Amino acid sequence: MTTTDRPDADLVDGVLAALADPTRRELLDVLSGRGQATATTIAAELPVSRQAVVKHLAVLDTAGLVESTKVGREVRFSVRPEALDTTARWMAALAADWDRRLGRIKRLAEAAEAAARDA
Amino acid sequence: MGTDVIEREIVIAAAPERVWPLVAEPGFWATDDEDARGRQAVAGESLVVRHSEHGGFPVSVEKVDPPHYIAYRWVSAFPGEPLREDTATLVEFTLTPEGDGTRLRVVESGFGALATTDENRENVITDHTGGWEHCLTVLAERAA
Repeated sequence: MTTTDRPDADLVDGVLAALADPTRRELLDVLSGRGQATATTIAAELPVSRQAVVKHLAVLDTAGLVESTKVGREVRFSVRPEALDTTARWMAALAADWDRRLGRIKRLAEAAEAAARDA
Repeated sequence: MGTDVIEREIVIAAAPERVWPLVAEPGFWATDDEDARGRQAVAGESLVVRHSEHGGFPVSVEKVDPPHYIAYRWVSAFPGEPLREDTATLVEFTLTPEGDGTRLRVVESGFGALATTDENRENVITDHTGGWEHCLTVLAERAA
């Protein structure tokens, strides 16, 4: 991790917690496919009630993953990509940490192999 | 969306038997304690790996199947805190023979389940990323 990632840490935590639930991941998929949708429209595509969809949308909203717009009496939801992008960068940094750690194992193992061959 | 999981792998020009003792050193990625080098994980044990500057990281050894598979849980967020479902991530290493060498794969999972209660949420993630940041520095120094 670099220090520049730290201000985003709370955001990333919220995003990962929100996305730990498979229904919410599915919900986001539906939403990103449609661009905009109401809770009723989303519920029609998922095996959960409208009430459950509303609860999941509230969690996603808190995590900064969706935003809502009022159009007449309808509330339409859409995906906010920024939080996902930030999380993807955070995960990429953790992945880079593991690349370095695996690289170290590779160097040590190959050095041991070479030493055994030379012996 | 594979959000909660980090998966990486590398191909090593050494047999799994050669790679195994390196990954079977509990918490090898989080310690700078040279005295602890070479110790080998025992399934079911819990220990705290030490880092000279950052303190202790609790690590538990979940499963050991030499020289194929080893799984750990570790707490990077709260030095000194016990391992729980909501403080630890799962780190799994899989070794697969490939020609004369080994494909080493690591999967770290469980970030989404880390403690998210209001009072400690901010601490968890700040300490967690701080820990990683620190780890990285140490590994970079050691690897150099």
